[in-house]
Amino acid sequence: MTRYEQDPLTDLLAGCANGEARAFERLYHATSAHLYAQLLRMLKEESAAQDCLQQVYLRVWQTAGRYDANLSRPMTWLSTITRNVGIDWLRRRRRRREDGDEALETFADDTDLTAASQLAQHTERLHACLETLSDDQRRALETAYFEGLTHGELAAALSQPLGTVKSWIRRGLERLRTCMTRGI
Amino acid sequence: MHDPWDLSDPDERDLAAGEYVLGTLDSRQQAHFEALLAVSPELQRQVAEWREHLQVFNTRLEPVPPPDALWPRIVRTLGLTPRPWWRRLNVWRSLSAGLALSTLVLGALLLARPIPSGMPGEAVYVVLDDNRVPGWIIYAENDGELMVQAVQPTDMPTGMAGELWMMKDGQPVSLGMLPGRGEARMRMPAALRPMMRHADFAVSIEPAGGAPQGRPSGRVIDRGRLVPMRGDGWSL
Repeated sequence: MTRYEQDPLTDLLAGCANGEARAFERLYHATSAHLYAQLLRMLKEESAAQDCLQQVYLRVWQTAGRYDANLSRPMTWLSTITRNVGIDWLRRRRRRREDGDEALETFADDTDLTAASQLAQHTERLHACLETLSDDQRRALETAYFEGLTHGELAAALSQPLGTVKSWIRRGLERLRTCMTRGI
Repeated sequence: MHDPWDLSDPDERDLAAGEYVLGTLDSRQQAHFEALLAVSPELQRQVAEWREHLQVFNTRLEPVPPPDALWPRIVRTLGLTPRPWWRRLNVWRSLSAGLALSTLVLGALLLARPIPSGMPGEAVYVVLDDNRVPGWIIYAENDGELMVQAVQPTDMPTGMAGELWMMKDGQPVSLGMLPGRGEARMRMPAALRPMMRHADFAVSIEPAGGAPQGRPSGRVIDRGRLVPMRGDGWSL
């Protein structure tokens, strides 16, 4: 008996690993709205989010046999793949920006902000554990998580010293871990 | 700023796992962490736990259905034909279960000792697949001797294997075929040794006998560089 065997998505992933197209379709319908929301939050561009979502499901179909129901929940496994695909895309975009096209990208940035604020209005109520973090800690964790930034990049993005940002991240992770594992 | 980063301390190691999942480690720290992660089941479990913790950011998001046109696009791209026989067999999974045991032993050795002395070689490159699963660990000695350990190699069609390439003046030079299981040794040609520290490496899927015409022809699984294991050590 594995840890996350009860989750109905586990069966669908096993079906995908066996090459069952029906299981794949059911998995898509059960999960795509969640993964699409995740990509929209990360990329803030609809067409890029759709391209990435397509890549995510191609990867899921090809690698479902590697899902380990002892190690992670099916949804967490799917979200991890989604995040990897999204972060790859963000890093490619950052590289393109460094290589030039600055004027064009600045324009794209303005549109991004509108999309971000609309998305923010849709976010659900904060999870109880996130409320135990300070605003700075939460903002640092969330920005790093969705935008795929290293400590150094995050410090630049938040206009804060590196040491400050590192300690927000560490303290934030510590509090999150305490709340998640001990419920306090 | 250099923080002491003592991965032999359990609490530090767990927080480093959190930072790894969050993605804030710089490329050097990340490479060091992944070298340890590849051989430590305990650390793999901690990383899995942090993924569950940080999943909270995703569960807060309001679901947004993608446009209806996307599913047919995926079906078209995949062709959704039945899988060939080699994908349906469970051989790959039982193979990796056997390897997991040897990995467990190596991982236990590593954590029981000061970390650098547990690693063979002067530098390491962990070959990761699209999902960041470690496929092979490549340990390099200064004299150009390479020890390759298969961890969970990418699933391969029959007759295909991973081939290791080193870039020299923008041209890929083959270093040899990676083992499907167990370990293998390779030797880097003398002319390539002086540049091994700064060269790009890549692994592609090729016929088991080597790529036709000695040029990469198949999908690239990963590209990366060797990270020194000693010298400035694990205190990042």
